[in-house]
Amino acid sequence: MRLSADVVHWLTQNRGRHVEDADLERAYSFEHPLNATRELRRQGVERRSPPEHVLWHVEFFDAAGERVLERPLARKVFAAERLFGRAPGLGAVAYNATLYLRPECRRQRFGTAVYASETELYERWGIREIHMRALEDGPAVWVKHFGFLPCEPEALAQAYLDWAARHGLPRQPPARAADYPAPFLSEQQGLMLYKALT
Amino acid sequence: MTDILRAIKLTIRSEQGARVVELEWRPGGTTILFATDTMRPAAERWIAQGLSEWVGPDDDAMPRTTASASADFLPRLEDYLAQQFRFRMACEKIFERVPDALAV
Repeated sequence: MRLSADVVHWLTQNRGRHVEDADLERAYSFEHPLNATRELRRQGVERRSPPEHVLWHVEFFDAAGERVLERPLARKVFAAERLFGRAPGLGAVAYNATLYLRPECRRQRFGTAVYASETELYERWGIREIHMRALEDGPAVWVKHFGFLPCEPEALAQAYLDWAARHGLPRQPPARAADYPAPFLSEQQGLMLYKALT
Repeated sequence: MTDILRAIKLTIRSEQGARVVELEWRPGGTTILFATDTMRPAAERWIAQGLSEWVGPDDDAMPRTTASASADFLPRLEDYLAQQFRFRMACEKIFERVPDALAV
């Protein structure tokens, strides 16, 4: 699972950091019972549709050779996009597009392992923020357990006021996103989230 | 006769029906007609920085920013919020019908 010379060159040029062709293999070869082997299904520098970016897709297999994900994990890195944590600044952004575990592979902390390894990789590459659209149990999981923040905090607070009234709770949004009740967050399907990296 | 787009008004209501934000676009820019205390910082940010969003299917999403001076701004803001929240929204386009010779 080697990065192509084109991808390594683009990342090095745009990030000003040392990037090696083995970086993805290192990041995704974390120890986990569901991570027996993996394949890089797609990679490249996308130049046709601006802004230019790097993308990659990875498929994971368990020890029996069964796929772990419903669709390959998909990631993109952009050199200069809007930062939600330091608005109105621009910076390198990773878009975590898809991570859909097959039902029998859920609740085994595979997503946690992917997230930890990728965060280390992103920080080494100098990426400033991760962006994502949270679906299924994602809104509650990513906000409460991984420190992701809503891209539209005021709209989330406004939505909470209605939810709280429906559930007979005080109409006062919590100060921290992680303190929203999980059932409320779970209703916010498609919620756009970001996480600022150090 | 030609229909000229003169204004667009986006009204955002809470799930329970209370008006929370009202924005109006006219050629040249967007202004806040109404905003609750909760939503005002968001409305001010959208107008100052434009709408930044990810569009397209999830494994092929691309970033897009729409300036608040653009006629696309409020319709896109409506779509963007509808994908995340259960607000009740209405986007009204106001046209003026003018003789062809006067259309600018």
